This record gives sequence, structure tokens and C-alpha cells, in this order.
Amino acid sequence: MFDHLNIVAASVFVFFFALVTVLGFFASRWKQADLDSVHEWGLGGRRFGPWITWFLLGGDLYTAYTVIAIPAVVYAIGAYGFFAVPYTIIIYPFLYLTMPRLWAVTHKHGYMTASDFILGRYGHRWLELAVAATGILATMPYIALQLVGLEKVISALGFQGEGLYSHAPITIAFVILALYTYKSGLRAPAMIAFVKDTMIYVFIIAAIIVIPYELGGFGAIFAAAQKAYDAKIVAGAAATPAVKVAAGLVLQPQQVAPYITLAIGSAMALFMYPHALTGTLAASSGRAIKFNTMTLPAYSFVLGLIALLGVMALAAGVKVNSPQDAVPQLVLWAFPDWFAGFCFAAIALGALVPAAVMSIGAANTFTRNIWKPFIHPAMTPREESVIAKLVSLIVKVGALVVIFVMPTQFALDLQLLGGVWMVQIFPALILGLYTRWFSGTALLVGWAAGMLVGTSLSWTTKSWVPVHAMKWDIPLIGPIDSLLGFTAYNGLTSVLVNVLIAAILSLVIRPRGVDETSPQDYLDNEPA
Amino acid sequence: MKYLLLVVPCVIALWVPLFNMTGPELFGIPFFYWFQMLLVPVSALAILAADRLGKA
Repeated sequence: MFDHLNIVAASVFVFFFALVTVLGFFASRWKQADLDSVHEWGLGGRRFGPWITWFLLGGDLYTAYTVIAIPAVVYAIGAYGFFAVPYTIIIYPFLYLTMPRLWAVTHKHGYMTASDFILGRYGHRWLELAVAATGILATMPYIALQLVGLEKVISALGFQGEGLYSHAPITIAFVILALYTYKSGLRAPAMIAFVKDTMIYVFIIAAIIVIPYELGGFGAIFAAAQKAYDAKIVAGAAATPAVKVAAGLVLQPQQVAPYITLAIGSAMALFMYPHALTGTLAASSGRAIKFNTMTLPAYSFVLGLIALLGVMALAAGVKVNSPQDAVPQLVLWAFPDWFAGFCFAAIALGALVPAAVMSIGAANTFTRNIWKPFIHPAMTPREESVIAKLVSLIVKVGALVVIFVMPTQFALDLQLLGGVWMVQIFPALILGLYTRWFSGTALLVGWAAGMLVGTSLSWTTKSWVPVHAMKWDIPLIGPIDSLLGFTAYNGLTSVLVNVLIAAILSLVIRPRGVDETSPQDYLDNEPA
Repeated sequence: MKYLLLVVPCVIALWVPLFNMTGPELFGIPFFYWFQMLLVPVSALAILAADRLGKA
């Protein structure tokens, strides 16, 4: 099990893991308050200023899975993986406009989750339930994928195990994470995020200086990558049956529309996730959020650099069975053991911070929007925090079980569908910040239609796929061609269907539920 | 003007034909990559400018 262990790298790795464990437990004393209140445990008492929010959201959104998966796509097919850059560019102007409004109304009414707001705005129990269930459903596989990222770096340390032992390191890591999250709540990932983000910046700055130096500059790197993509295209054409590989340093014509729609749809979906909203609503003011829309792009820039690790891995001649091993293997190739251990620890912490926030976001949602209204309406605030803490444990154990018993592909497929599902709450949440014209029932039907359309578009006999041509073979109706002639991200296509249906039905069904918010609740009253 | 500053960087970021090419290179990096990365700080500055305008 330990025969091939890289002792130096593993020691550095364990050191940093131990350090953040201490921080995680210590965090319960930070900004001291009653952690038996769910507001304090699950939202840090909304006392995170601009800089804490910057570290927390940066650590929360730019996950270990991102650090592994984005360069993996670039390694495999090139330019297409760079969609993460326009995706994270368009997200911040959108946040600048919408999130201070959401923060203001949630602050005013004590809402903690998207579903809390939906219930207050539309007075519609079932819409609230739909939004809550979507969030939890989409978050579970996302947590499981953080475990995949964690496992990749641990295997790169040289740890090998058979059977149950193969999962021993991530089990230990997750149990420790679960314990300090249980104790400290959102304060734990907020504090660990300082360490994680600093380490990621050090890792990337070192990589972007050292690796091009070792490989003879960026010109040589991209030339070598071009050769590698060309070789893949030739190999694909020669294979039986022949496969048409779309790879290269720039987008192939058929990749352009998927690239654009994937960026738009992903940007719409991201801040619908419970973990993204939890990080945002924990901010101490609308101004803190606005500050972050101007400073979080620093992480997007780093994400672009991370994506470039994919072409560097090609140029370095890294050969792997799964593209997701490209970054860990590149790190081992480029750096001395001690620094490789540092980089792997950075990626591992990049899994723990989001996993903690995701489990807290899911726990808040489950407790307040499923358990309380549907099972135990007379819940006291103390009971609320007990349930939330327990659910955060259950969610993490659930993710571990998924990784133990299901093939990794299952988590990947669910994550892909998770994005398509998550964007379906966009109309209710974001349009709801501006207008009460839509009726709750119409939005619920739109949501159901969006879920159904998005999921069925993604299904093929061979595998789940994120994009579909703009022509469809609809059961009972037959083939329809939109004549648009391009392929688009299913999340975007299905949310358009969702909005359209919600709008048409709103003409017929007028809203009946009570709106407990008033227009001035949404205004971001900051001192001028 | 405020909304224009917020929208224009998004439109450019999604206008793929504008930058889907290898040249001109910068430090050996193809245009496709460095242009999009340059757009990241530019879009952040645009939000800052929009914010200042909104306050004035």
C-alpha cells in the first residue's frame, strides 16, 4: 500500500492537512457567537466582510474538480476547455446587478436560502419544494466530484490500496472535514479558504514561471500541443470505426455554438447552486458583494492559467490513461517532491472548502425548506440547527457512499445533469427579484417542463451529453428542425422552454399567493 | 452608460469569431488564449467604472 509512496511529497501534504484541521476546529471561536443558531452555524451570522467573502467565494466556486477537469479538457481536445474563461467573465456583471438585490431582501426578511425567498415572494409551497429539491439533487454529485479530485491527487502521491483500503485516505479526510464542519459551520471553510486560496496562487504562479522555462517558452509549448492535437485527429480517422476528433488550438466551426451556449448556460446556473448562494448571502452587506464582483475575476484569471496547464502537459509529453490525471502528473514531472506535495495539498484543500460549503448549503435548504414546512412545522430554532448539522453529516456520508459503490462516470453524468437542472430555478429566482408578474404555479409548470426537456435532450443511447443539435425528434409529434443549424447547451435550450411556458401560463393563471416582500426591500441601501 | 459598461465585455467575451484565431501571438501564446485572458481584468475594470458612475 505504501511501497510506492512519495514520502517527501506525502509528508508535506499531511502537514498542510493537519494545519487546516486545527484551523477548522479553532474556527468555532472566530467571531464568537451561539453556534446552536442556524443563522450563525449555516450563514456565519452574515458577518463576513468584503475580504473574507473574497476568500470564501473564491475557495468555494473555483473547486478542486475545476483545477483537475478544465485542464483535462484542454489536454484532451484543446481550445474548447477554455469556455471556462468567457463563462467566468459574463458571470460578474450579472452578479453585480442581481445579488445585492437578493442580499437586501434576504437580509430584511431573514431568508437563508433561495427557497426561503421563493416562498416569501410567491407564497407557493410547491414551488418552494421544487427549488429546494433541485438544489439538493444537483449538489450531491458535485460533492462526490470533489472526492474524485481528492482521490486523483492522493493516487499521484503514490498511495495504492486494494479493495476497501483504496478509499481509506479520502474516508479519513472526509470524516475529519465532517467533524469540524459539524462543530464550526460556515466559519470552518471560510477560515480554511485563506490557506487554500493562498496555496493555489503560489502553485499557479510557480507553474506558470517554471514550466514554460523548462519547456523552452510558450511558443514551443503551443507548437508541441498543436502536433499532439493533429496526431489525435489522424489517429481518430485511422481507427475502426473512424472517429471524427474535434481538437485544436482554436475552436473547430462545429464547436463555436456549444462554446458560447455552454458559457451562458453555466453562468446562469452557477449562482443557483446552494453553495454559491450560501457564500454570497453570508456577506455583511450589498457593498461587500459588489466589491467581490470586481475582485473575484482575479480567480478567473488564475483559472485561465490553470487551463493552460493542459497544453503544458501535452508539451511535457505527459502520458495518462485518463485526462484527469494530466495535472497531477505534470506537477510531478515539473517540480521537486516537496513542492509537488505542496501543490497536491493545495488541490486537496480546494476539494474540502467547497465540499464543506456545499454540505452546509444543502443542509440549510433541507432543514428550512423540506423538513420544517413538510414534516415538523413547529420546529424551534435550536432544533433547526440540530437537524442542519446532522444533514451536513449525512450529505457527506452520502457522497462517500456514491464514490464507493458507483463508477466515477455516474457522478460525472449526474454533475452534468445537475447543471442542466440547476438553471431551471433561474426564472423563479432571478426574474422574481424584479417582478411579481409571473405566477407561482406557472413557474412550477415551467420548471417541470425545463427539467424534463433538459434531461431528455441530454440522453442518448450511448451516454449522457451536454449539447444537442437545434433539431429534435419529439415523441408523439415527430421530427422538428429549427433550421438554426447549430448545436447548443441543453441547460440553455431547456431554460428557454421553461421561461416561455411560465410566461404563457402566467397570462392565464394570475398569482394568488401572498407576496410578503415590498419593492423597497430589494434596494441596496448603502451609505452614499 | 452604466449598463453599457456591464454588457459590452459580456458581448465581446461571447463573440467567438472575433478571437477564434492563433495570431497575433503574445510571448508565443496564441491570440485565442491571451485575448480572452486579457478580457478578464478589462471586464473587472468595466464593472468598477460602472459602479463609480452609479454612485455619481
